[in-house]
Amino acid sequence: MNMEYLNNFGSKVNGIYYLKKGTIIGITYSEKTKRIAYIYTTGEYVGIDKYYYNVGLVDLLISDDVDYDFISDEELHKKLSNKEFVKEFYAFLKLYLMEVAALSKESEENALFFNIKKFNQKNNKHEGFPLEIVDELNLKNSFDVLVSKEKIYQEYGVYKIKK
Amino acid sequence: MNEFKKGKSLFKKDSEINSIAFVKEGEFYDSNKKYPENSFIGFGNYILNYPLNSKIKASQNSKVMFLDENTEIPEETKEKFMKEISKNLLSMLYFPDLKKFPLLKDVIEYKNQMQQMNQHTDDLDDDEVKEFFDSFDFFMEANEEKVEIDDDFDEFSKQLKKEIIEFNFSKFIVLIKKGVEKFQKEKEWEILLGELLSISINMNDRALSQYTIYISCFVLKDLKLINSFIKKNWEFLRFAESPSWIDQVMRCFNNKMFYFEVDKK
Repeated sequence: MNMEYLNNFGSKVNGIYYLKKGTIIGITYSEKTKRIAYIYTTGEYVGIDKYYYNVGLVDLLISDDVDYDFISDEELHKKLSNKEFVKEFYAFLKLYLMEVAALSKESEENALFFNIKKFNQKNNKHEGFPLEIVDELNLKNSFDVLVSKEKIYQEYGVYKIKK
Repeated sequence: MNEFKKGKSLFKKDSEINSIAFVKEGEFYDSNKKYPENSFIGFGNYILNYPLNSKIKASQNSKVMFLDENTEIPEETKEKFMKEISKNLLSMLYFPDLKKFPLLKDVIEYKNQMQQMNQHTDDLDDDEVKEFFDSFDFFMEANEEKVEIDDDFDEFSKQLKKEIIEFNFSKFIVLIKKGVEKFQKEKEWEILLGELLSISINMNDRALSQYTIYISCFVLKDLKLINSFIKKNWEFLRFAESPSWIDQVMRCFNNKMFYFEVDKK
């Protein structure tokens, strides 16, 4: 499968992305594992992680039909002077960081389950979480744990939530 | 701008945080750390709505600016504001695995390691397994094309070489399949297969060289000869930097060990 990534990880990008349509999978890396850290959905700002080091530390995998606006740093700075935008931006930050904080305290298994569920609800292309993406990311073992616990199942090349 | 004299409290312990403080001048402290000029206080508490776990006081005469959802971000703090968000975000995203703030060089190194591992897997898929299955499917499915096979082995050899050089692989496969059936007792296979292997190596076609090895195993009876072909192929793979050359070495030694055991009996 040809995976498409938004330019972020390890690269200098002069701005962030506002997701108008679709889902993007945020991936983090550690010594022995990679993790689906967050599922970005319509209406979210993507790539904010780049402001600390000036390069992003989250890989952003495009998984369906995505449409986004690129907001340059200059544009963003202008927007931060707009009270309406600031209010909206804080509202986004509160939801975003609360979800990230909640996921960071969950077990790996629960966090993955939540992210699969979110992906399956929000993506506009696949009937479930595509096996091709799981294989590409080498995450089969983590998904197998959820299959063995009967939380998800595989059907027609995608992982679905067991009801 | 709000001024705080030395010792004055900025936030009380367990208090609800209704705004983020940005230290414009001076310094503040709590029981754990200091907040120097140009730092934010209560950022996470405000965003995630949880109380402070210790009081915060000015360690010298200081000035702060309060920010909340109803105030625009002042020009001079915009960059720092985004950096603060990014810092909080990275801490939380990487907490489950690292339990500490991620260092740039470490994370980039982790990703490189992962990529190398993937590339290794990809190599195996592309160079060995995939090529094998592709050629195997080809072999199994390429029986529809109608080709006439010459009764003379020399002519048959010329036909084969012509098809391979002209990249007519489906014809080549059908021809060789028919040839294996027709010329079962032919002694010149050894020379022909050696030439075909050299041609596929010159063409840098790993699938074809692998395929020629399989045909050699069908046709040839001489283990030493088969092993010499495998060895030629492994040198080719090693030169092409394909890790699968080691498998070919193992195959060669397995053959030797197997026949050594058979000979003993």
